[in-house]
Amino acid sequence: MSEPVIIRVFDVVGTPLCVSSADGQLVYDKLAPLLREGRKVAISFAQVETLISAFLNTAIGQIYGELSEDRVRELLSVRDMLPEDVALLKRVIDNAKRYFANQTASDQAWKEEVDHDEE
Amino acid sequence: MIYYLPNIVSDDAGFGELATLSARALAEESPHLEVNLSRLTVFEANMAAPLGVVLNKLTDALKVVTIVDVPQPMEAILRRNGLLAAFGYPPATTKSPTALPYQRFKLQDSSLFAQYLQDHLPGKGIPTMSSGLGKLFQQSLFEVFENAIFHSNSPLGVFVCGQFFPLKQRVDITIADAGITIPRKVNETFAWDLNASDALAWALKEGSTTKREGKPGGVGLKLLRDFIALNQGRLQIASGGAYWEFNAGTEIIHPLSCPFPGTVVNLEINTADNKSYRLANEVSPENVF
Repeated sequence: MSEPVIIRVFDVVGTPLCVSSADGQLVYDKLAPLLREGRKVAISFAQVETLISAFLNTAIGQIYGELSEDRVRELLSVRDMLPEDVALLKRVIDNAKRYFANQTASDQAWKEEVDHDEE
Repeated sequence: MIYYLPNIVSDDAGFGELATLSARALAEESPHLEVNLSRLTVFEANMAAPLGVVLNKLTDALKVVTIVDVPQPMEAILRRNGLLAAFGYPPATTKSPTALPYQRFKLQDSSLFAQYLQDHLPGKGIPTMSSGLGKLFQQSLFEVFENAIFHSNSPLGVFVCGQFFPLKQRVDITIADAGITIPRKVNETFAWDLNASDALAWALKEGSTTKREGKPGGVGLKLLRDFIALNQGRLQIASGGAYWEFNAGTEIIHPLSCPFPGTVVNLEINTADNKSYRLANEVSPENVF
């Protein structure tokens, strides 16, 4: 089995603060081409001190718009994360799966419910 | 035009009063606005951030804004937190041990916000980053700031100010922008015509996002709400015509008395909170995807 390519977030972003969508996009731009080629990737969060959901949405969450859950599970892994950051990532991932599964339908349903309440 | 600013505290009435100042001054033909503070007996210093939005919107509309008749001790407070210096007063010679100063950031300045927190958060009742509370608080502030940077399209940037209230064991940090407002962004993104409160309520649901182009979002504000619930703090949002508050587990949302020309998020943290925020290792990295 081939070794995964390691993407070190700290090296990509250049600081221990992962607090912007723009920096998340830098990580995604490294990650997505590798996954599209079917390469295994491990994302390392060593030296990262602060993570926010907006960063993780962009860095990782948007991959579910391109690849299936099974394919992501097969190719992608994370390491060197604090437990609370893993919990945050899990929440972001679950949200991304829901978003790509049915976001448009869910938005429209909510709008119709509000319209109905106001009639 | 002379405008007598009434007392301003961090609540719906306070945001509404600042919005009223904005609306009245913009409606006046006179290019001069004198904001008279002689009637102030209370001005919660963190509200300098939304006041900064209002006054900078007016100067952007080529109004000449002056602040006059500032009573003591208000003048000392507002000089030391930097608001008055931004409007022509000499800067204070001493720093306040309880103020997180009034500061305006351009949308490209997100790294400067990190520096701001590093410089000004210590000593304001918040444990260090190594504690669970300190880390979650900083995460929350970055979530709010990034939301403003990403969504507001605020030509005047983002305004930040905070105040530590040692006796109340609370610290308030307010992040305000002069941008598109959440209700308008929701309605424009989806071509909806919701009233401001309904549009804001939609935006606050977990998973709701106006991001397009295949980028999920809508987790940050929910995380913030969860954190505030645990901490027994308070979270307030005034955006366009809507006001939302989450306090002691209770949520309220209603129209503002006058639409605010941007978005304000006020995060109030209970600094007496000493519970552990270290999460149990409930999620294994192997199971995260």
